[in-house]
Amino acid sequence: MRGGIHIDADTQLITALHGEATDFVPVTSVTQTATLEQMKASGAAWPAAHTDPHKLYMLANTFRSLTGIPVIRIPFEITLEAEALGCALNMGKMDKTPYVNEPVGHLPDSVPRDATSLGRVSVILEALDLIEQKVPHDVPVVVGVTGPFTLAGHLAGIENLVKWTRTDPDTVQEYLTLATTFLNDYLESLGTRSVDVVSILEPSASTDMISPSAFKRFVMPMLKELADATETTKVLHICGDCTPILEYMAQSGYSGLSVESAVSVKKARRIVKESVSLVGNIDPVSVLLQGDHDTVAEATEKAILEGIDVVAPGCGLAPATPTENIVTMRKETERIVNEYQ
Amino acid sequence: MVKRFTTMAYDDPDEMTFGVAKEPVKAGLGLTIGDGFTTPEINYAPRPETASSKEKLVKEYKSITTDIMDRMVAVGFPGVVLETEHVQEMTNNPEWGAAVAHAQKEIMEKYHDEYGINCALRHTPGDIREDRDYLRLREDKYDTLLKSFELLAENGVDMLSIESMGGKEVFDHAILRDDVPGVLFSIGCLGAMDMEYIWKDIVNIAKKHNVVPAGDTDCAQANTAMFVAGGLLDKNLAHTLAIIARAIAASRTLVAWECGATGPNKDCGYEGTILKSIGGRPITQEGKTSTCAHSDVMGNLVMQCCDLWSNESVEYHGEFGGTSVQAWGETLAYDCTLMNVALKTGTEKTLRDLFMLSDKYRDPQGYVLAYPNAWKVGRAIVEDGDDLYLRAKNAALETCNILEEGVNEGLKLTRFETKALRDAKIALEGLPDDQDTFISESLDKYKKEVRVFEPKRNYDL
Amino acid sequence: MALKKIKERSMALDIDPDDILVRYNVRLEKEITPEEAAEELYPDDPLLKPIAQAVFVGDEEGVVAGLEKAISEGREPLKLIDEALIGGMNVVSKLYDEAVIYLPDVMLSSDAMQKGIEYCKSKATSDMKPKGTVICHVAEGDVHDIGKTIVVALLRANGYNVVDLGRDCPVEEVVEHVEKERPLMLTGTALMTTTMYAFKHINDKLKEKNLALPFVCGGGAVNQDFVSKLEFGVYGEEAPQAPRMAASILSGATVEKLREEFHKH
Repeated sequence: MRGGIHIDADTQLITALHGEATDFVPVTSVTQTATLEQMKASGAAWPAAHTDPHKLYMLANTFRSLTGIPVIRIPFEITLEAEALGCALNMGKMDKTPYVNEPVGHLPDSVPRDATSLGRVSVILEALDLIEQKVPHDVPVVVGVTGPFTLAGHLAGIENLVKWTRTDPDTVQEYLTLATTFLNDYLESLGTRSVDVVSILEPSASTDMISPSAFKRFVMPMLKELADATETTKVLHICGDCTPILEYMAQSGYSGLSVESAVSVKKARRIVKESVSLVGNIDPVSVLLQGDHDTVAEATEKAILEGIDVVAPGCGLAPATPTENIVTMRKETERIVNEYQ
Repeated sequence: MVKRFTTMAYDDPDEMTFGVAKEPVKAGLGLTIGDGFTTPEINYAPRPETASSKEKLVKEYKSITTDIMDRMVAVGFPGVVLETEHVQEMTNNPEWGAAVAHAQKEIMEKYHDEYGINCALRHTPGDIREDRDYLRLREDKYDTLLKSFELLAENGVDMLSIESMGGKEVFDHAILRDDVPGVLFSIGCLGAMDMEYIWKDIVNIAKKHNVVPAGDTDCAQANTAMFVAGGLLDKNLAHTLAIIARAIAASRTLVAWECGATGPNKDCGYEGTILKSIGGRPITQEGKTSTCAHSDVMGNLVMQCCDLWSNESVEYHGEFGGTSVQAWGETLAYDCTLMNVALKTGTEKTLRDLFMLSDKYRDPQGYVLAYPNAWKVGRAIVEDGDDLYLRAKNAALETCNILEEGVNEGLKLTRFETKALRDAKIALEGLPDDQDTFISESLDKYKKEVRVFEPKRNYDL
Repeated sequence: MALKKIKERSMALDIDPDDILVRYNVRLEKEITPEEAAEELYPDDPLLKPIAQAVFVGDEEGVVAGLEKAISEGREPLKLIDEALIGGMNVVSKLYDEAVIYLPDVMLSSDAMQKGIEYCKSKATSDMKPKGTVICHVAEGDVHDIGKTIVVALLRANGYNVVDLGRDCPVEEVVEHVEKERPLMLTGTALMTTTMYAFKHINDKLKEKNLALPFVCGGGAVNQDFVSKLEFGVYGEEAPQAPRMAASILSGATVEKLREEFHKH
């Protein structure tokens, strides 16, 4: 609220992501939002909430109602794309996200034509329909989509893929091309629903896994291709200390970059200048999971004073994260923004 | 009486600027230092062959003094400080130094009377307290040194200073081995103890003669560290370690003020900004204008909070534009004019920040001495201001923290510098929490390792 | 950028140093290729150097060829493991630590080193006596085993017998193996915050069964606070610490001692 004019939460978020906000900092999450407390409150728990569109919607909506942070963010995991392309999953438990049991291990011959018919893509689309029906339209809807390198890693086995960046670049390309083709189709189908922000999650492309030059050579072109293919506002999330690749991330066509607390916002700003907005970087473990009120308040203030554009957890929430800490993150953001207005 | 600093003179680093100190100092003929104005301080060395007799030296210094005063008047500068750093002969024979001082002051008085130019004379006797390989900090040479101060104060010197060298024997050993605890012991403990010993006497002499007990600087150690560290490409000593040595030196040099010295301290250890943040007294600094004496990786930055602006030292000889003291003096004075314009037009904070940003990221040393960070080192010192060991350790650790944080702010370190920093921090964190344990452990260690270290004789330890 | 006023305050006059100065020392270091950086670190011995080099570039055939030559000139196969293979791997860990090279390089080098160790063992006339056994696993539910892979490689490189339980390893299985093998130490890695609680279950089970031993936990999701609360927990921040910890245990270090030595925060 400012000057008596009400600005919708989705407008705020989109404006901030496009770097046009000058007097507010929204708080949101572009990464996994579900926690055990939400599961208890909503009656929709993992793993069922991964496969049942209604439960998926319920759980995602409970993040909003419990924390007061105006966002619906789905899904809670990064394996549904791999599943659609043939990987067998372990669906995890109430406090454990699904994971790929075994990689496909070979290159699938081709991407099936109708991506929407594969695996649980339809679950996502149905959940989006429910959200459209039941959630006020000014609440931004964020959909997380696994990035091409991470998806290719699920298919090929991440160890193999990582080594091949050194020994067998052609095979890396083949897997990436296939992953990207699928993701393009998937994004297209998401485009038929009302989605405000697409958040591309690329944990396996972090500097812990591959070198910055491999990122530039293999990953960046694919990320660009995805970015070009969709009109929706896009955020790119990469885990760990991505400082060495920030420059490339900023050139990949995303409005916002979501970074972890390992990245200094100040330093990131120096590198990306004003070309993209920065989202994050409240540490989900030491701050949101293990911290208390003061820890959260301090981290939030630091992020804002260093120039974060959108306050959010730096990575997916751990299921045991107390709701209270997430609420503190929101309240502190609002307090600081008010103080400076 | 020694009065330790346990609080900061400045609550906010942004209050600090050049030309303004919390406790300005009146000195010499009409000069006030640190009351809203900066003044050049010209420093010079006689040609080596003139040191052979008192007469030759006096003649040399007369020419130097006349040249400087002449040029200051010729270009219209309102004030100047002359600093005579003794060649050994002038301190070893106290009456030589006194004769030089007397001659210089006569000339300065003449210019002051004739033109009204404000001026002051500083003398810095050499620290002659050594005998071949051994320091002799407390024996007959000490008496000679005090005699020199006494005679200087009687013969027209306005400000008394020294670059005392307690701890140097251990420092020389430690710095070449990247031994940060050894650097801490030598500068932070031995150096500080020796300063306390010598500065109580200097302050008494100054009081007796109503002249200014100005201050010290850690030339023998901090400046040596900077010199060994060298330029960006030198690898003799990581610059991250050099700045740790300088931060520790601030804790040491502060002792002069704690013994009653009033500033302006001396310049070549570069610890002045830290001292000013703690003590609020005026400081002399040197930077781009001391390239005649040594290269520098923070030539503009050090101007940020100076009150006197110095050239470290230049040999007296001819240049195309006059003599060397005229050329460098004029440069200093023009720098001061620029700062004074800023002070008079209310733009001093902007100019200060421009100086600072010019070199903040050039080198880890400049990064820590940038006034907001220097202030943090100061704060770390006063936190344990009563304990020489702890406050020096605080300064060193704070320096490590500032550098680590700096990497996120735009400071780029080499792997060599990063590793040295990491090792230093680990070594510092492993040190004991109390002074007695640290000193006794260090005594054991360096008595064995350093042949020329004589703790009883020089430090009464 | 959001909040103009905040920006003004927090970004008070500042400058991007790249616009006004050059840290030539940093630039030179950046321009140095991994090969050039490694060159200074190889052993001087002309028979050992090519082997270390082949380990560094991950050339398995080169490693074996180099070993063959060294053995044919009378070198002791088991000594070559230490001097050439581990020597080469040390270069790799050092440069990985300094971010000159990245994970794929480490993995390839580790493969090449393994190949070399097998070859040396096959040529050895006496048995190599391992220094002790270490059990390594990735937390139940966690499939990110790259951290563990490095830990295993470095431990083996340092002469430890490693029982590798792989990724997503159930708590029970870990405890069973500890009971059976009675190792020097147990390591667990977890990248996901959702999985690190498995370490607590393992710790409690070990306590229940009186199987006291240092339990080194590390990985992206894990932090020192969490690990310190476990009875046997020792926090490992970086993979290269693993062999150093094992060595400390061999010389008598307890969990307490290990924490003193390796906890950084």
